[in-house]
Amino acid sequence: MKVQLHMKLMLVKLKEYKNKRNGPKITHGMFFKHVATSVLSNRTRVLLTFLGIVISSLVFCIAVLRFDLQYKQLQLNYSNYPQNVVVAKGKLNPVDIINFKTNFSDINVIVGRLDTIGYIEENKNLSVCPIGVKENFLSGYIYDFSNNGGVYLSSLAYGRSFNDAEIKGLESSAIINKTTAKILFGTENPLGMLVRVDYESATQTNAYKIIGVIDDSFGMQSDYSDYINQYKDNINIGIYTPEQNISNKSINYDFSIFYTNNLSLESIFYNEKYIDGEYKLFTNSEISFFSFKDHEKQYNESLESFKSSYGTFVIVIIISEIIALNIFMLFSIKERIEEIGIRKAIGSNNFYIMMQFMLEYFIIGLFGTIIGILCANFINQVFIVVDSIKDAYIFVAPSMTPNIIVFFVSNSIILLTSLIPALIARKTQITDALRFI
Amino acid sequence: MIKLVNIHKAFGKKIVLSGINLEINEGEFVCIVGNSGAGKSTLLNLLALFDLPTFGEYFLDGTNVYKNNIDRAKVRSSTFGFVFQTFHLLEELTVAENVKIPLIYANKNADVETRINNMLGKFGLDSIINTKCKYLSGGEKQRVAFVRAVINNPKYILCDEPTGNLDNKNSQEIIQFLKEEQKNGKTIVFISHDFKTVEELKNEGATTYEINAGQIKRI
Repeated sequence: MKVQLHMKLMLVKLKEYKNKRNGPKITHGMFFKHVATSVLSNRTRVLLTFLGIVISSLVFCIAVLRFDLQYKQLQLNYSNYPQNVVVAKGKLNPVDIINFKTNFSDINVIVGRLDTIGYIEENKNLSVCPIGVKENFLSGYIYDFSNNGGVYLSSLAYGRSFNDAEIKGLESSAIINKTTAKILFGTENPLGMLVRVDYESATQTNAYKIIGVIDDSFGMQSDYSDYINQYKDNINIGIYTPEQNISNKSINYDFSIFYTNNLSLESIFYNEKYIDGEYKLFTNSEISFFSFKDHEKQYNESLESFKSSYGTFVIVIIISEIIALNIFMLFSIKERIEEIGIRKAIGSNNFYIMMQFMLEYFIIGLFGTIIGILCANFINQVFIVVDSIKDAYIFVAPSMTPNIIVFFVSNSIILLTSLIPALIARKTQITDALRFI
Repeated sequence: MIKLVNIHKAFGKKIVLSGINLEINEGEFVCIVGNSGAGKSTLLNLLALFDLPTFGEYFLDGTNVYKNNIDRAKVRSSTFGFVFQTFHLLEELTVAENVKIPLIYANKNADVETRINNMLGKFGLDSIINTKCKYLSGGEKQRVAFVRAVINNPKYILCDEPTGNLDNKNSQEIIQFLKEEQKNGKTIVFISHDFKTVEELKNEGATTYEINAGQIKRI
């Protein structure tokens, strides 16, 4: 009973204390309306604050949008990697590749296309140049992420990709593009037909079975035709029929894509043209096997590095935003010191003085952030168009998530930032504010 | 009733008010006159609960303000109305918005618009109800400040040199308003450095005090 009485007494005292602390209770609707009127009344100050918030959320939003796009693009690039690749630094001889494939049976896909080799030759610092197979796609190449990164994808029109047995070299098979299919077989869909490459003997049974047809790749023709044309002439590919009737057909490299599961076509091509020429033989130390785990590790490292560098950039922007807004708000408080005194003199308690300032900044911040985000999205679209002109294709679509993040973070920053001047306003003495003394 | 007992106020080593004893009865018109630096405004700050004394006691309607730790903001919004020499209006807000603020803080939300319109009409301000205060003349500003002071129907109206920035015509008008409020039962505290005005008010029945070097005496 005693405890109950004490508790009741404490509750009564607490209520009394709260009543004393709270002062007059204000009808919220009337107060909000008054705050809104106050915001609209001083257009110059509000416009300056508004512009500051628009600019800061715009910069912040662009940074986050770009981060989001490039992060997703990076993920996409890596997701299109084959499982195991060979990494080579320097000029690459296809013979080495073949040797490596022999020595390392678990290499699924091997670097070694003409275009890739060309690229390695031109960019000695580049460490990864894979080309390979992924479900429903033959992925092209990827190069330096920060500049002209991109993955060219060719979707399968007919058939399938290489299966495990083919990748391990147990069966010979090939995937060709539509143009090549038409030239060789007169149809886009020659699945199951056999082909052999030239100067393999007619009796040789190692023919390649067509297992898939891909769409003509836009990247292959436009980007590498010049390089290929320097060496191509024509290459003969024979159609291998059960009757052993061999008819040779010339196809132009500009329009042909011929992937085989052991790259023999390309190796023959290189052997013929470059063996003992420009390319040197690699030593083991110069070519390394790049496993899926390595790939995963590099992927994670790249993502982490990307996140930390971009994260730092975003943090710098946030800190700048906080400092800029704080300075602006503090100046604003100085300018409004008389107003604080007047409001207190005619009955406002400290809580409502704080709320007045925080709500004002919240209202301005709300609209400023929305406008900033809209502008940032527009600018981001311009960047995407410019990127595509520079051939730095972004294959991922912008999402709403960065906008939502920026909206909430920006408004939280504005609210937190407004807390400092609001506290200063709260502490301001009426006599100081009104300069009575 | 307001009662000050042995009020002292010092700023650092400087003693501004020294042993002030003052009683202001309900419905009274009290004038406090003094030269610049005599401590008039400091006294008004204490009366208005804008500031705390170094020591002394303040009884408002029988309640010891400092000992009972009453909510000063609540008292300012409901019991006091203020008229300042420099008007202290929110210049960017309209006349109506300025007058409305005390009602918001005192949570008097019934018939707000009607009340404001009636009051502004009574003081001849209905034509400028939606004008921003920064565009008003001195006389108009003081009338708006006066309406703001009385809109909550306060018991006490505290005026700090309300006629200090006004010409003779506008000064007389404000004094007339104050007299009318006194007739309606309000208690008026009128602080001024103008001995002539205070003398005139004394002749009309006001209780007058002179403050000098931090001490107050009835004149």
